[in-house]
Amino acid sequence: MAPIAFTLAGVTVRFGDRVALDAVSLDVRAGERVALVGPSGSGKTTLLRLLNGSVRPVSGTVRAGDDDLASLSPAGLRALRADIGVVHQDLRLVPNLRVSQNVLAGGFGRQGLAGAMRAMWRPRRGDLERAHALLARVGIADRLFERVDRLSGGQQQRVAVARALYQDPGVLLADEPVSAVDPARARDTVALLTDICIERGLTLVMSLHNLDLAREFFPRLVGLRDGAIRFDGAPSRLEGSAYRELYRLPHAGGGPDGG
Amino acid sequence: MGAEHAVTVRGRGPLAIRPAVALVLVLAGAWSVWALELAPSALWPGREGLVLAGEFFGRALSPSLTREGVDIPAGTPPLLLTALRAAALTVAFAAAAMLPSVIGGLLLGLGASSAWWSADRDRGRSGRVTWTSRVRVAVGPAVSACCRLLAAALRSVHELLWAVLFLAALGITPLAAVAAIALPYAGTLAKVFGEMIDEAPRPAAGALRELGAAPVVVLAFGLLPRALPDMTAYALYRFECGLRSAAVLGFFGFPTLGYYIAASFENLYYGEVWTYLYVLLALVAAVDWWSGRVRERLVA
Amino acid sequence: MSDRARDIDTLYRQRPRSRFLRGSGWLAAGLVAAGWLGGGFLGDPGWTPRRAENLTRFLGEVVPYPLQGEPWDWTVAVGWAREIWNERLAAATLETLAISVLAILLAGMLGGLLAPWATRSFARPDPFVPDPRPAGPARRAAWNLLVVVVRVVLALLRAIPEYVWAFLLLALFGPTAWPLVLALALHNAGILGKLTADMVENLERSTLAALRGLGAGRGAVALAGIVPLSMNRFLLYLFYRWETCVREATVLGMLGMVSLGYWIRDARARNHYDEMVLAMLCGATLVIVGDLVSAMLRELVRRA
Repeated sequence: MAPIAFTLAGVTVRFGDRVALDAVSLDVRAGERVALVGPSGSGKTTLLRLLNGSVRPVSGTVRAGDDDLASLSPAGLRALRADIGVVHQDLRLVPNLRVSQNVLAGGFGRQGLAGAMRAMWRPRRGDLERAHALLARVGIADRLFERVDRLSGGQQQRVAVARALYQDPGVLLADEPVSAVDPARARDTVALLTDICIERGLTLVMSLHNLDLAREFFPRLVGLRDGAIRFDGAPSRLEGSAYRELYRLPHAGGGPDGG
Repeated sequence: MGAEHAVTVRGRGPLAIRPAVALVLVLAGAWSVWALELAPSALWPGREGLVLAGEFFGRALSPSLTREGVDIPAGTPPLLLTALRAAALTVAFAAAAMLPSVIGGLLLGLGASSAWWSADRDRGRSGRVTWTSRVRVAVGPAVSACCRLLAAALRSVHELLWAVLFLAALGITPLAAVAAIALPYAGTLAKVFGEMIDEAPRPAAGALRELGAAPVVVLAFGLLPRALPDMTAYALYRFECGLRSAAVLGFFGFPTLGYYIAASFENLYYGEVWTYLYVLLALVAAVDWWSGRVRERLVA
Repeated sequence: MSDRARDIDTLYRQRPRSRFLRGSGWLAAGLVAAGWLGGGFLGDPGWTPRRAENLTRFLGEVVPYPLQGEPWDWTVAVGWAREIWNERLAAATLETLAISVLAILLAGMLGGLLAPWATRSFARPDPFVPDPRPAGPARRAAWNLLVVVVRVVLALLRAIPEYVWAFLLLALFGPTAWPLVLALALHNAGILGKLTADMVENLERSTLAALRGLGAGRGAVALAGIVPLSMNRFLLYLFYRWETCVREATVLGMLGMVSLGYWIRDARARNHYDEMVLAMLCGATLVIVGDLVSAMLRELVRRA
């Protein structure tokens, strides 16, 4: 399966009167790891949601691989989404189903109703083994048949990661995956996600509030403010005036190379 | 400190609207008494009525275990056997009626809910619009309204009235009893199921849609599982109601508990009446207990 | 067999599951199956010519009397319906409504009066605030007994269907509207009493405990604490049960007393199925209107 790269050209998104993204252009190459950073409400989540067609731009084009998202048929969009794993901030699992069922739901994008019913009620041995292997990779293999609402928050997050990986995606999108967990676990989670993407050669786009984690784990940062890209480059370059500009800090006062 | 608590309670509304509410309720009551030409004096049952009440309620603590009356025809089954058979038939009617009611309620309730089209409508603001989603948005509200209307029509006719209609068409057959219970119950279940599906949390459904699942799969495994515990508990409660309805159908000639309650009462065998009433109480209490335990385990 | 497959098998065998729920599922399926197999449905002859004939005749008689055998004419049908409506159904519909209103008010009073004594947090020697000197076992047992007795009475009230209550009370009061009103009131008092008691048990304790800490007696806690805290929920329950009262009120008259049910029975006895169906339609309309009014009232209470 060919990994997808994204191209955004002059993309504007509006919700009612509010401009969420204003003429944004961006390229993400296959296999790249990109962190979206910036203050709250800067458009990070909207940008992520553009990439799998959950949000439609009012102008500009979004391309995933060779496909223009606006011209995809419903079936084409479903096929594209099956190839993009998403880890949401609020996880979005079905809490009163078992872990195995939630992970196997990752295969729904390539199944019809009959396949989905089989996966929920009489899963194939091979599918269960794949789910078990993924859960082992995220460290909770022994919870395979537990109900999700019996797990801790951190374990539930790992289930959400396993579900996204079960899709066998070319791309992983993660929307603030660590905003609700304590700092020590936050680092573990970001490390796990980046490690997995390196192992499997996945493209990773993650919105991240915590700039330190972004600097540590991502070779490329994209900084947004007020719906526009204010920074795009290696973490080492996000210093001084670039940093203050992104977070709209006063220019007076010492930074690493400011003054 | 406590006084402050009381003051905040006072400001929260219920007391503020209470005088008006109380006045409306009193007026409504006064109007009904007037419309029914009810004299409170009619509440005095008279000497005869009191004697009868005394005899009837006097047997509450001593229900019959054997048949009352003097010349019982040979071959009449013992009272407890009759009660058991009537109870079994009551349960059979109620249980049999649950199958078509739940299936009908589920289909109609799904139709009545906005779950299968509102996501398309919401997405229309910022997401992709396809012709299938356009069709769903266009016909969804109308189909939902029709389903709701049909459900309201089904349950607006009482099961006893359905029974009267089916008796005229089918005669006293079990099928008439089950159809009479199943139709209004399907309407009630449809209304409640529809509301439960609409109120079920939707994040998981959104996630399944985003990983490319077909709409029907999203509905079946993203949304329905969230509503299922409540729906199961409610279906069990309707089964309890079904027991009462099946018992009352006895007054129309079906040999359920109501049939024997009426017959024994008219023969003035009050002990037997209490026996049948306690059997009904036991059935209802058992199902009540059962549904309580199931709800506890499903929701927790 | 690989290690992984063995692991999965072990985990599957050890998977947490509720034996009670599994058993409940089988029990429910078994009851339905037994109902269909044992309820006498297998002997049902299905669609016989006689039934078809019955049904055609019945449908023929549902057509308004002046139009039977004639081409359909709206003015005649409406005129026929209006005559019957003016003559008896209008009054009967209002009576039905009045029965439901009076019944739910009485049910609310009775249920509201019984509820506190079925509330475990209230009906005890030391309501809401534990007494530093615990009451003697005899007093505790007496309160416990009271709660159990009231709860059993409430269960009996609601387990007996309205129709059975009306049938029993009819012998007592004779053919006035009282048996119908009281039957609905008793059954619903059982339901409202239980719902209210459960709700009061789940009320937040702090306010009630604070009142109690001020030295308020049992009655003062009830009036100044429980009533205002639970009034809204109680009204919600009241309007919700009123909806079912309207529905039940349409049939209770079939026992031979005022209201729509009486005319339904009367028309059925005279084999005037057209009038019977007309009366049923009046009832259905009343029920639908009642549903809407109840939903509106509940929305009002929710916003209050």
